[in-house]
Amino acid sequence: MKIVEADGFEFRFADALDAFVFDETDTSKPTFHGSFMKGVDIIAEFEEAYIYVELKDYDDLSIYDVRGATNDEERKLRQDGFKWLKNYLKYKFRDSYLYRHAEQKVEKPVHYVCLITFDNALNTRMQKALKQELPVGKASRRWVQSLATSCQVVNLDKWNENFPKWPVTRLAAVTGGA
Amino acid sequence: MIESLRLKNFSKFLDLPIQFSPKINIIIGENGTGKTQLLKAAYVANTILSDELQGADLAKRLCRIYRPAGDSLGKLVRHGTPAGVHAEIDANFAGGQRLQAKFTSASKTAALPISIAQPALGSPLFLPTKEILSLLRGIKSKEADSKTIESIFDSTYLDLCDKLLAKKPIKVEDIIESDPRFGSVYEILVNTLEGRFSLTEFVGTVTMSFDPGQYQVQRDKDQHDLNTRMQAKFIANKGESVSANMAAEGIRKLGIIQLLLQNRQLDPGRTGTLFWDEPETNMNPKLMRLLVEILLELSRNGQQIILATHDYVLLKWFDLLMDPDKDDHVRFHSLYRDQDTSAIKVASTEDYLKITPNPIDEAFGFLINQEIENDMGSLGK
Repeated sequence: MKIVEADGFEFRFADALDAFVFDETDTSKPTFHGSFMKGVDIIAEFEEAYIYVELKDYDDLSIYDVRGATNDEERKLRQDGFKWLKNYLKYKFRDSYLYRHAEQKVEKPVHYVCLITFDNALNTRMQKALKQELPVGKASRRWVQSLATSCQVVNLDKWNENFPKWPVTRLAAVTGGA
Repeated sequence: MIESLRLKNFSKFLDLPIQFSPKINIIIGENGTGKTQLLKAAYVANTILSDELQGADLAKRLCRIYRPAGDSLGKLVRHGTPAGVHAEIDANFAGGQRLQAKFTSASKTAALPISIAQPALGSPLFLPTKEILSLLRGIKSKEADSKTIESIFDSTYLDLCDKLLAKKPIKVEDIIESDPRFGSVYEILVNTLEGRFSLTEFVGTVTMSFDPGQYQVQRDKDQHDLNTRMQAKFIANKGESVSANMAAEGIRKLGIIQLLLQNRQLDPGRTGTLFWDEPETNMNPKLMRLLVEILLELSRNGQQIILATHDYVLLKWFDLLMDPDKDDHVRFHSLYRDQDTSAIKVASTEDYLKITPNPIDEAFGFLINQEIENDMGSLGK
C-alpha cells in the first residue's frame, strides 16, 4: 500500500510498487523534482505499467464549457479556458514523460489519468481533445513506442468506481489548488 | 399555474409529492420512472379545472389519456395496492384552486365528483413526443374512423390537434402590433425557421403549408418620423410555398409553437401550463439552443413550463442560458427508483450540478467506464 497526498486528495494505491508526488517542491525529499520542467502531480508504478495522475479541483466548471457561451466574447473566453486547460494537461504530461525518459523510467506502458471535478459529459470532451493531442498511441509511422498508452479524464466518483484498488478521498479543510 | 402535485397509489407511484417552479420545470429519470405519467396527471388536473373543460368527466379524461386496459379507471390504481385502498390525485394551483380525486381498483368508469375551480384556470397545452403536424391531416380526415384514431393516439395528441386548429381571432400582424413581447418571440421563431407554417381547415380537410421568408424591419415610404417604432413585416420568398411535410421534423416541432402562438392557444400569462414530453425527439441538437431560448422567453412572459427530457444538450442549455437577472427560475426534478423499496421518488434542485441521480450524465459516465476498460484492462481493479 502506497499512500500519497496531493492537492487536497489522498490516494491509496493498494498494489503499487511505488507511488510519490512527482512535482515535489520539498528539497529535503528524495523525490524532489528540482527542474524547470512541468510535472504531473503523482506517478505510481505497477508491475505492468506507470500511471501519471494530474489533479484539477474546480468549483465552477462553466468557465470551460464552450457550448454554453451566450455570446461570442464569452465563447472565446471559454474556448480559451478549455484550450488553456487542455494545453496545461498536455504539456504537463509531455514534460513529465521527458523527465522520466532522462531517469530511464519509461520502459513500461504509461497511462495518463486526469482527475478533474467536471461532470462526465465535459470530461468526455476533454478526454477526446487530449487523446488527440498528447498524442495517445504511436502517432508516427517512425515511432516504435508510444508516449502515452492511454489517457482518461475522470471525476472523483468515476475514479473510485473504475479503480477500486486505488481509492481517492478528498481531505477535509483543504480547498482546490493548481 | 400548478404549484404542487401528489400522486398516491396512482399509475406507477406509491406516494410521490412534487413542488413545481412557477417558471420552468425539467423532469429527468430513466425509462420506466414515470416521467410521462407524471406530466399527464398534472395536465389532466389542469385541464379539468380550465375555463374550457371545467366540470368535464375526470374519469373519462383519465381513461382517454392513460388508456388503461378495458378503459377501466380502476386499472389506474397502482399495481399491488390492497383492495379498497384509494388511488389519489391531489393538485394545488397558484390561485388556491385544488383538484382532489380518489378511486379504488373496483371503480370502473364511474364518474368522479365534478371539479369546479374559481377562478377557472387557463387551458393547458401538452406537446407529446411524436411530432404531430405531419399526422394532423390524417387524424382530422373525414374518412378516418374516430375509434381507430383513438386507439392509436392518446388524448394528448387529439387535444393538441384541436388546439392547432382552433380559429385565429385576429391577424398575427395585429397581435405583433398590440403586443411587442409576443412579437419578439414570434419573430425570432419565424426567422429561425426561415419561414412560417400555416394551417387551414376547410370542410374537414386540413391544409398545411410552409412559406419560406422572414420578418424584416421596413420603413413605410410615407413615414418621415424617424422616431416612430418600425414594425417588422413578413417578407415571403416568392413562389416558394411548400407542403409542411417537406420541412424537417425538428423544424416542424418548433412550427407547432409558432402555430400555437399565432392562434393564441399559447398565450403566456393566460394559458395554463405548457407540458412538453421529450422536446428533443428528432430535433437537430443545433436547434436545441433556440428551443431553450424560446422556452425561456415564454417563461419570462409568464408561461409555466413542465418538460421531460433524456437529453444532455437540452438540460445543459437551460443551465447555461437561464439568467437570474431576468428572474429566470429552473427547477430540475429527478425521478428515480428507491433501491430498497423500489418506489419511485423525486429529488428536486435548482442547482444543475446537484441533480442526483442524473441518468443523463451517467450515460456519459458509462462511455468513460468502457473506455477505461478497453484501454487499461484490469489496472486498478
